Amino acid sequence: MTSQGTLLFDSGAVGTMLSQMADAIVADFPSGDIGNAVLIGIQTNGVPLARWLAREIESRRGGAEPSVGTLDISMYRDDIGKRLVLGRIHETDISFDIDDVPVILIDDVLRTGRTIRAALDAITDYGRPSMIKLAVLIDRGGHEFPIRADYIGSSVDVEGGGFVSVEWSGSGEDATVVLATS
Amino acid sequence: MTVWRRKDLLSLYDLDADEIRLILDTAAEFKKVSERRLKKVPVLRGKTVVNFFVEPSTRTRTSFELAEQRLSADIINIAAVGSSLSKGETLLDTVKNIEALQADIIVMRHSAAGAHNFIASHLKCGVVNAGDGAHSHPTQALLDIFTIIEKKGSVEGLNVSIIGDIRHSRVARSDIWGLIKLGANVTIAGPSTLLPKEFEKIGVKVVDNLEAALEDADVVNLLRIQHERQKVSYFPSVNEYANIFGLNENTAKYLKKDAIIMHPGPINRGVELASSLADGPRSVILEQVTNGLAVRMAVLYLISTVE
Repeated sequence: MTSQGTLLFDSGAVGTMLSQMADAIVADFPSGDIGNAVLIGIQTNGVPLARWLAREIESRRGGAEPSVGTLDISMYRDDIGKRLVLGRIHETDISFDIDDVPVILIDDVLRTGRTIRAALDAITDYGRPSMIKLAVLIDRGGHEFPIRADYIGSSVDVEGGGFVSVEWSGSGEDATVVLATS
Repeated sequence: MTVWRRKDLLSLYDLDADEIRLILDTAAEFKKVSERRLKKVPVLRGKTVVNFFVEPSTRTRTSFELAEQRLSADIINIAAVGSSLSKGETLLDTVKNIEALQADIIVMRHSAAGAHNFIASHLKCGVVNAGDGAHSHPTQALLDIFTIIEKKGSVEGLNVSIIGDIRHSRVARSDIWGLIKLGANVTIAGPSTLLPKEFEKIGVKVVDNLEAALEDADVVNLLRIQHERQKVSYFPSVNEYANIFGLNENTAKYLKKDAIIMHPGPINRGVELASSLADGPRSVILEQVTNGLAVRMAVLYLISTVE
């Protein structure tokens, strides 16, 4: 898919976006609170983004990294049995209490909003956070649900049926954003 | 990537190793659901599952039923007694009627080997085999393998001994198929009258004494003598069986220190397994029951993803 795609953002640009998102998160959660707020990455591409953001947040605050969890939304999809191929279930690992703490949900690309709808259902089955914020690297439009992100790396206007994907290097330390026209 | 494409789970014999691993990996995530404060997910919301147990069952039916409830399904239970089968209706008519009620999945136990393959080929809805005669009990084997992997990390290269009434055991058959596909070394042991030699053809070691089955085993799975399936006497007495093939404090000395002891239940305490071992630190019998729930949730989920 990479080879046929158009490069939208190289790894430097992705790094800058994440840095700006971390700035915005730290600004919203001033001293004392951020140690409390937790990051939850949606499987699969939201997970390395959550880890990356956690490192960025830590470097700004010079304290401990915020807790990072992973969330798989397969059991909450609205299309079980409607698609021929459903992906493998990946690990959900929320090994901390999310009651009464702010949760920042992280995904790579926001499109229809259906994944986020499922993630909200899933998260609230684990506890009752004081608030849930959404951070996405790319908001590509085409929303089908009334869902908007609070932190956005970049908004991309994609014509027609193009597919925006975030491609990771092997180490998970380096990502590019690619537009594939299918 | 392995993709699940089956509307039915009939036997592990049908599955390849990757499909078995997909079920087990999926089960690991469903196990966590049961460990949450809120133990329910909307996977089968709006779907109807019919538990049709033509042969009696307590633990398997309870496990399926709880799995279905945790997946938010609507559930109907039908037992053979009181169903139209006792009024002379054919099996196919009964299940077609169940399907006509818009059932999405039928979980069935039946005393006839192959009953599930027969109905699955006539139905659009999914069919899960919860045991057919002495033939197959795939979810039991899956929970056994899941438990072994949880305790030992992997089944590949492990020595697994299955001891007891192999001839009448659908659990043994399913375990053997699943374990062999995943690369375990399987040994079966029991009175020679209850020990089908044909398993040697697929690489199973067949031994007729307990010591040979225990000495290298990483896992021992003990089976109950299924008196209800035995039309003739296969060995002189239960006492003699217990003396020769029972695992007790005396015979357990042949076992490796880290071997685990499994049993699909119900246990005949003091016959195939002594109480001190069934309740001892090497026993994983109750963990098998817990894992059965996760495995059945995974199977129902995977089947429900296929239109």
